[in-house]
Order: sequence, then C-alpha cells, then structure tokens
Amino acid sequence: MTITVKVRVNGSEHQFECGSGRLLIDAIRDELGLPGARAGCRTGDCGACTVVRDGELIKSCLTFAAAVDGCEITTIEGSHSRAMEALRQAFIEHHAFQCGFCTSGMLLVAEDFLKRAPQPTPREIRDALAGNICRCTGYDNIVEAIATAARRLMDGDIK
Amino acid sequence: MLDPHFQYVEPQSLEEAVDLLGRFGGEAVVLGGGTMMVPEMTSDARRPRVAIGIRRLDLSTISQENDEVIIGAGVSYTALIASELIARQVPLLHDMARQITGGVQIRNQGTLIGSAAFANPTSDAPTCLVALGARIRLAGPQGQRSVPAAEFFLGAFETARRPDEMLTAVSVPITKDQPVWAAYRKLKHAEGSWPIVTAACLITGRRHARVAMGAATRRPIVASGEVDGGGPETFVRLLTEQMQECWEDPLADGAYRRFAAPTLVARTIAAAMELRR
Amino acid sequence: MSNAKQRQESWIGRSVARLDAEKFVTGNIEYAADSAVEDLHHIAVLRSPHARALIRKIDLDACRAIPGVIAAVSGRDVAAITNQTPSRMPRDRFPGPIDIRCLAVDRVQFEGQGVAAVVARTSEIARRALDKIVVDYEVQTPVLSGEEALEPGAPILLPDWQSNVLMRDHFKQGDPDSAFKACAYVVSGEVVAAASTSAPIETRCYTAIWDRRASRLTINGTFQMPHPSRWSIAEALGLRESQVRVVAPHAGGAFGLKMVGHPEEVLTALLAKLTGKPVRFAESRAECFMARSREQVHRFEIGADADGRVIVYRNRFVADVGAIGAGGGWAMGLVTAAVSTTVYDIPHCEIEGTLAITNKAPWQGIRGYGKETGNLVIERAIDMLAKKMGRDPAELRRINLVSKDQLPRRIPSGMLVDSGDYHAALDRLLELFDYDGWRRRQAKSDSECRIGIGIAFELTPEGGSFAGSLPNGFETTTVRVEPSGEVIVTTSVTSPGGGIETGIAQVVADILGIAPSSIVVRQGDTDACPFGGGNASSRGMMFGGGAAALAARDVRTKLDLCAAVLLQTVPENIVWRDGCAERRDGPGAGIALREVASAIYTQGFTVASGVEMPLEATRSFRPKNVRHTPDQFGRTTSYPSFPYAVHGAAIELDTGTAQVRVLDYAAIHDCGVVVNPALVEGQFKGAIAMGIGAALWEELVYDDDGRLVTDCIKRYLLPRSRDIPALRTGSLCTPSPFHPMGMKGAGETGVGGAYAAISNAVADALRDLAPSRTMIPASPPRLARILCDA
Repeated sequence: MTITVKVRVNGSEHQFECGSGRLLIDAIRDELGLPGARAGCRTGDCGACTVVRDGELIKSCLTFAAAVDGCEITTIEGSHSRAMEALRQAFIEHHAFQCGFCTSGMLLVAEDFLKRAPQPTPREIRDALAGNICRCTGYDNIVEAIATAARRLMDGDIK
Repeated sequence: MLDPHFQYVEPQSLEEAVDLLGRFGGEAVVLGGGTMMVPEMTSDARRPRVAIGIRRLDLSTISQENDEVIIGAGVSYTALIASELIARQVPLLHDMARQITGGVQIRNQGTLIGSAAFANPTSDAPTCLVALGARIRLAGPQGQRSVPAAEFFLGAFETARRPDEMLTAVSVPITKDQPVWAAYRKLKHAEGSWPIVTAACLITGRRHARVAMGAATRRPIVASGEVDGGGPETFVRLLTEQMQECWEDPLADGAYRRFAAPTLVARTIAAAMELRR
Repeated sequence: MSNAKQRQESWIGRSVARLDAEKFVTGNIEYAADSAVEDLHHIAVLRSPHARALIRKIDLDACRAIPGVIAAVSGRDVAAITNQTPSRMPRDRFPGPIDIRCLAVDRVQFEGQGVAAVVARTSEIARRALDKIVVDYEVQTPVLSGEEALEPGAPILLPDWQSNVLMRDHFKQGDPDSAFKACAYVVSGEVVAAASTSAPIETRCYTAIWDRRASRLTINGTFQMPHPSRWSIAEALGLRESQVRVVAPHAGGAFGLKMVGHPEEVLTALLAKLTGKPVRFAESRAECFMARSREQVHRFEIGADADGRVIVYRNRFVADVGAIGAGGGWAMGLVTAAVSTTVYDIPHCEIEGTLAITNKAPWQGIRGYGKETGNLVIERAIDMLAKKMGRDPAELRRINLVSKDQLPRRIPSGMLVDSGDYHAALDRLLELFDYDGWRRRQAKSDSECRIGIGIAFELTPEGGSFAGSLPNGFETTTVRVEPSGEVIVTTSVTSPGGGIETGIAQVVADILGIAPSSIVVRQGDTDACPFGGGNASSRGMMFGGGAAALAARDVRTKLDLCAAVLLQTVPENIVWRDGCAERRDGPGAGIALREVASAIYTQGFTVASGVEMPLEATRSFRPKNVRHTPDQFGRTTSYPSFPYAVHGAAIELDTGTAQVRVLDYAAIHDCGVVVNPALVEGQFKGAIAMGIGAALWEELVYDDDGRLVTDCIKRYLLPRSRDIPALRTGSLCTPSPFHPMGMKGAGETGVGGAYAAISNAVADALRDLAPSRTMIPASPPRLARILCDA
C-alpha cells in the first residue's frame, strides 16, 4: 500500500510517497536522498542508522517512515550546531574514524550527549557510546575526540 | 511486511485502536517503540497485516492515582529516567531504565510496556514488573481488564494478552508512607548481550523484601519475605528452588544460569540493603 | 613551528589528517549501497536450510509468475551458461576436482549455500518470491567437525575425492623426537578455537549493469580486490577482462571479508547480463555472519631444558575449513602453520596442519589470516611451560627470544624473518604496562574477583603472495602531473578504511615537495587504476606506497630536468619545497610546480626538450624476500616482511559469575618505517579490539544440524565502547632491510597478540584450575564449567 509522508527534514518541509512498510532508514536514504545515515544491521544494534526525531536520538531502522509523519528529523547532513562543528574538527584531529561507516551515528550521539553532560569523564563518554558499534578504531580515538570537543566548547575555543 | 496489503495505522483514539484489534486480531501487532517488533517484521519472522502505532493515543503519561503509579503504554525509558515521581516512588524502574542496553536511542524509543508485551524472558521489564507486583492493563473489544504481572507472563514470548487486546498501561502499587529501596541488576556476557540472569529487589518498610529473578527461566520467578532473617541466602534458595527448567539460548545454557544466578541475586539484595543503610 | 622549517620536514612519519576528512564527518563518503541507479532491480538468494543435501529438483514456475519478478534461476540454470568460478589458488593444488559455482548445482555443501536466485523490482518482492520456490532436497547427514571429517569411514564430501583432506602441511626442523627426550620439562596441551568472523559494519553489496551496446559489464561494490574480482567474473561469465569494469567505492571496513571469491560477485554480474537491468545484491547482516574462519583444534607439546631454554615445539592441528569456496580462505590454515616458531629461538620444531573439508560455510579471509591462531597456540604453550616451571612468563619469554643480531633469520617453515628487536619491545611493554605493578595488585586481589595477567608476543608476516594465485606479489601506482600542476595518483591498492590513500599521498608529497592534501588519490576502478591485488595482507603501504615512491621519483626526475633549465642550473641542484622548485645552492625565487608542469606540456621543443613525455610514471613494486622456488629444505616462502608486537593484558575474573572484565591493556608494536603513525596506531588498536573480542565473546555457533544460530549482533557479541578499556600503545622501529623505505606493513598486527594475551590472562586468573585444553572464546559458561569442576 502506498502512503504519503509529510516530514520536516533538516529544516525543510518534505513530502514523499512510499510503501506502508517502508523503514525510516530507507526513506531517509532513498526518498529523501540523504545517505549519511546507514543501515548496518536492521536490528537496532549497530547505531549507524541514528538520526534525530523531534529532538531525540533514535535508530531509524527500528521505525516505519509512516510513524514519523508530522515529525521533525535531523540527519548528519543537517547538523551544524556549534557542538557538532567542534566534534567534527576533533574527530579529524584525533583520527576518530577509519572506514567512516559508523561516524555519522557516533557524531550525532556525541552531540546529544554533550548537551546533557558538558564536562564528561572518559568513563561517561564510553557509557554514552554504548549503543553504537565501531569495528575499526577500538573506540579510544572517538572517546578522546569527544573529550577534546567538550573541553573546547567549555573553554569557548570554538569560532 | 511481506504481506502485500500491510498497513501501518495510527488510530486517534483507544476506541479506534480497539476496533482495529477486533477486526484484525492475531493479524495485527501493536507498536510502542517497535525496538523488538520492527526487526521481527524486517526479517520476516513476523508478517502481520496491520501494525498499530500508539503515538496518537495519549498513553505517554506517568501519573499517580491514590496508591498506584500509572505508566502509560507510550512511556519511554528516557521518560521513566526523567520522572521525579518514578525516582521517588518506583526507584526500581528508574534503576532499570538507566541500564537499558542499546544506547540513548533505545532508551528514547523503547517502552516499558512494549517490552512487557513482547515478553522476551531475558528482557528487563518482566522481572521488574513482577517484583513490583504491578498490574498490566489491557483493552480489547470485550472491554478493559487488568492482570497481575506474575499471571501476565506465562512463558517465553507468551503472555495472557488475548490476540485482540492491547496493553494500555501498567499500574504499580506504592506504599505511601513507607520508604522503598530498590536495586536492579543483570548479568550480560558483554555490553551488547541479552541479559543472562536478571534480578530485582524491592525492600519496603525496612524489613520486607520482594525479589524477582528473570532471564534464567521462561517467566520471572519471585520470592518475598523478611529480609533480615536469613539474609540474602534465604531468597537465593527460594528462587533457585524454582529453577527446575531453565531458559536456554545461544548465549548460555541452563547450567550457566544455575551457576551464576545465586551470585547475582545475592548481590542485588545486598545492593538494595546497602541503599537502606 | 615556523613555516620555513615545516616546508623542509619530511612527510614520512607525520600523522597528517586523512584526505577527504571533511567528507567522513559530514556523512558525504560514498559506499557501495549509496549509488543511486535508475530502474534498479534487486536480487534475493534462496539459501539451503540443510548443511548437506542433494538437490533433486527446483521448481521456479510459481516464483517467476509473481508480478514484479523479472528472473529466477537455479544452480543448474546458471551452470549451463557460465564457466566455473576460478579459484584464487591454482586448481592443481587441490587433491581432487573442484567445481565452484555461484549457486549450488546438484548438491548442497553447507547451510546457507545459495541454490536459487530471484531478480525483482523491489527487494520486498524478491524476498517474497523466494517463498514460492519449491526445492526437492534429499537431506544427508552433515559432517560438522574437522575430526569427524578425518575419521576413517567418514562420508567423502566432494565427488571423486579420496578423503576430506583439502591440504596438509608438515615440516620439521632438527630432530624433535630426540629433543623431547632431552628436555627437563615437557608440557602438552590443546587449544580449541571456535569459529569467528570479521563483521564489518558495512555488509557486502554489489550493483551490476550490463551495457548491451558496448557489450560491457560494470559492477560497483564492496571489493577489496577489484582486479582479481574482474578476472574472476570475466572467467566465470566467459567475457574478456576488457569487457568487465569493477568499481570499489569506499568500503565500510573489510578485514578480509570482502576479498575476491564470493559467489554473489559472479551471480550479480550474471543476472545483470541476463536481465539487461541494473541489479543489486545487498547482503543482510544474517548473511554476513555466514563468513566464518578460525575454527580449529591444536595439540601441542613444548619442551625446555633445566634453565628454561625452549628446545622443542611440536604442534599438530586440524582446521575445519568448511566447504571450498573460490576465495581460498582455507589457505589461512597453512599460514597458521607457517608462522611457527614466531619470535622464539627454538631449534627443534615439528608442525603438522591438516585442512579438513566439512559441511560448513567456506572460510573467508579474516584479520590475521591464520597468523593470529599460530601465535595464540605458541603463546599458550609458553605460558603453560612457565607455570610448570614456576617461572615468570615474561622472563621465560625473554630468555627464549631471538635476538636482534640473529636477524634476518630463517624460521622452520622457510620464511626469512627480516628484522626486529624483541628484547627491546619486551622491555618497553613491561614498563608501559607496569607489569610489576599489576603483579603486585594481583597478589593483593581477593579470591572472589581474581586478577589475571597475560603477556604475549605476535609475529605477523605481511605482504603475502602465494605462488600461482591472484593477487600476487606486486602492486602498481601511477603518478601524473596535469598541465595545471595538479598531482593525481592512481594505485592498484584499495583502502577499506585504514587510510592507505593518505599514506600514499604522503609518500608522493614527500618526493615532489608538495602537501599531501593537494594530491588526488584514485583507487578501486579497474578502468582507471593499474593492475594489482587491492587490499590484502597489510600490503597497501608497503607495495602500493613502494610503487608510488618509484613512480614519484621518475616524475620528479622529469620535473627536475625542466626546472633546472628554467632556473639555469643542473637537475642535481633542484630542491622542491612547498610546491616550488628552488636552487639548493642559492637565493632567488623558485618556480611553482604549475609553471614547470605547464612548461613541460607546452614547451617541449625548447625548455622542456629534455623531458620525455608523458609527465607521468607507472611503476610496480615487487618485494624482495619472497621465494616461490623451494630452498634446500624444500620450502618456499610467501611473506616478505615481519612486523611484530608484544602485549600485556590485565583481566578480572569474577568467580561468582565466571565473567571476565578487561581492566588494562598495553602493547608495543614494530612495523618498521611508518608513514603515518596515527593511522598505523589506529589500525593497531582496532586489531587489538578484534583480538579481545575473539578471545572473550565472539563465537559462531552451529546447531546439531549445522545451522548457524548466531546470525545477529545480539548473539555474536562485538566489542562495544564499555567492553574495552583505553588501549595504551607504543611503538619502536626496526626497518626492514628488504624494503627500500624500510616498511613492514601494518593492519593485522594486534589481533593475534590480543587473542593470546587475553587467553593467557584468563588462564592466569584460573590459576591451578586452568585446564590444559584452552577453549576460545573464554565465555562465562565455559569458565563456569571450569570453576565448577574444581
């Protein structure tokens, strides 16, 4: 069955048609043309599909596109907060990605986390990342990048 | 989703939802956060004709009615963690919600009631609801009813919910004038693992403890009594006596659950007792 | 640091940021599943639920009738119109006939083997159509372990074979039998390793288009080895290589899993050609878990004299390599044998490895490629010997390490280990790890939560090339300067995520005196890139970078010729800094690269008359220290370089729950000269995480019928951020005398050391309960059984 979904994505209104069983991750990547969110498992485990819905992080492989009708979605492509820019810079400097497949999810989780914990300990950062899997880095560089970004945001070292 | 006529619907009222259930019954699934149900559909393990989303049913409140705290079907783990009412009156659920596996995303999307409805024996919710002596509220074409948690969880992925019913809320009895201390603990092989053994301990009025254990058996088991008498060992014995047939899965067999359960239960009780001090 | 000084510094050994880093952090990297294709159709594969069966009949009629289905094929349909998929290893190496197809024809060899395939307009329709396929199987009893496969009377699994032995390797050094008799201490034991898998976050995906007019196939996908895959697909489809274009965009991790030889490579290409539509195979996570490796049983004995000098090591093992696939992953079993005796000076040695065919999925390449298991076993042996002797395991290792001056040195398998300073590495590790501090903490730890400490070395031969196989021991890089002065590098190596493209840019930048970030590196397109193996055996920088250096020097020579004319000097007097040619000996302005390039392109009869066009060079690099002709012992050697590492792990064993927590981890690695230290360290840490996972949690489990039950991330436990502590690493550098830049290769070092160090730490925590039969992973249920048996 074909349905119409109206959704605000990265600040713009969108409307698209899709099958009623379409998953949000697929609608974001295909109908909305935003490939930064990725499908790694389709069981809600790896976190590569993470996006923001109405201000909350969700795993979009666990959601029907139909279920976000009327919602506001932000993907990595539409994320430009001060915190996100600090994180991006820190990720590059700390080599916090290798293949990059998990990176969109990691960045969104880190951005959300720093809002609530602006001065995190390394332990707290590791806890915050527990829902996202990286198979390349062993996590150290990701943790350090987030710690650096947090420090810079606190110190006002961001342009 | 393999059904070519599959529909996702979001009824605007409970009556509408109940009507859908009356029409589709066993061919419908009800989705809270969908964290467990959607992957079942994605992998074709389940092929319903209709998925009913509860987003518009105004079931996302946490409230107190007399001697009960009512948690609606749409309440996420994040909402449980943020609720001052829960922290104060039902600290077990606060403790449990903070430990949900899968990251902030799952805490945002997943619901307590959704987990109860799915009734995976290794999930956190069944153990806690049985420990709390909660009641599960159901609605269907034949009306509304509530079932005590211990009678709701019948076996692995098996509950007392009829095919044409949905869970609307849980009610948790609270002891108004008595303090409560609670601890929830679980054993996992690694961070991403399903729990292998879970334990929830509630101490009320300083002396009375109710301890439930899950994930080791197909449905939660519970024991209650005076906590300072025989100490944790009494509860461990009462619970392990009920472990005739263990739940087994690729992560651990019954032998391991039997091995580890006593330690986990004892530590959970000790944690609750520690809070009491 | 002033700009002038910066310009003079070499780009080698600097942790520059990744090329295209901005794209990675904005979600703008394109992976295989991102390619937007019009009229894309989807493939679904029907997979056998039985591990062993004959296929009597497949009925596709009902399936073909479904609206939206445009094609459905069985194995027989496909076999009639294709050739065999060529094996990565030469056919004559097999003891019997092999017939590798992309879909099973008459018999099923493993659960999950594809028996039919459907192409449909949407992936939902394709999956639904699988339900309508009727297969008449004659189910047979599967053979599900290596031991079972080798038992006399076991059913022979491949037609016209004499046994289930795929291959055996047996070599000796000295006289082990006599040596054992002369030992003061002899320890024997077993290591039983479960199957594990790579599980990159991106699963495999291939999209193929057949252009009828051009009679050409283009296939875009997760290919670690574009050129070998092109060859494989062309052979199978009866096409010329020039008719096939393989494109590998960025990969979301590979770790060996995306090497050449997957049946779906050929299947996707074939279905594109058959249907005339663009088709895609997108592997599900469950399908990805079919890729297995490492399942084997080792029985070893190790003997030492009264002073603790290890005199003899013997290891007999059986590897359950599953069915034979085109990829040749089974060869890892041979590498396991070849790596002995690793870093230890053991005069007598005997290794016998048997690769057994069973009814399980074929081994797929995995990080470590067999080395991790060879290292695991000898490290367990050393630890068990230390325990028996009452010696400290670090000190027992120390007195048995090959010394720096003994290298280069031949090890029993015939490999010539290039260089290394194992003693220095051990000293550094013990200090970084605070070994003494951990032993003190261990002494004070209580009996309920016991601290266990494990030390392990790993020797990780890299750059492997097996005689007669593709890929083989060379890679090729082209360096070109455009008229605008832009430098474009195309290389045969691919980068599944480790940053090889950045390292190669650094190598070229260093020679041409420009910034790496100004260089464009192209990889992964068989139409655009020179021939090579792609990504395997950590050879990217060694070979691809080696080739890049050769090509860049050729280009530099041409540039120098013209620059010298323009600056009125001789080429020997030209230096390049910050994109400009200058006279080494004197003042005066320099000339920008773009001016020199422009002159070369446009003034070939005057100032650039000495420069032979084109302004590009293509060079291949072939390593020294590989010998495919047998030596006086009849051995060949396939690996040119030998990075190594030494690891220390501290774990806590909770005896109440039998759970293990990793408390602390340190490791020192040496991969020779390193172009980008941060990238190499990143690889090392990622590899360590994988080794920890394999030692503690990662296990592919099959039921009694040979069906995989761990086909999802909730059951095959991948390490998460909370599972691993901070990994404290350091490095030292003993350049390889066989590589012009001293490189040894990086990428796999880390896995074997962690696999072994963690296993040793767990045994250490078990103390006297540690069994002589080590089972990996050390899962809580296994540890509980050990604790209970006490």
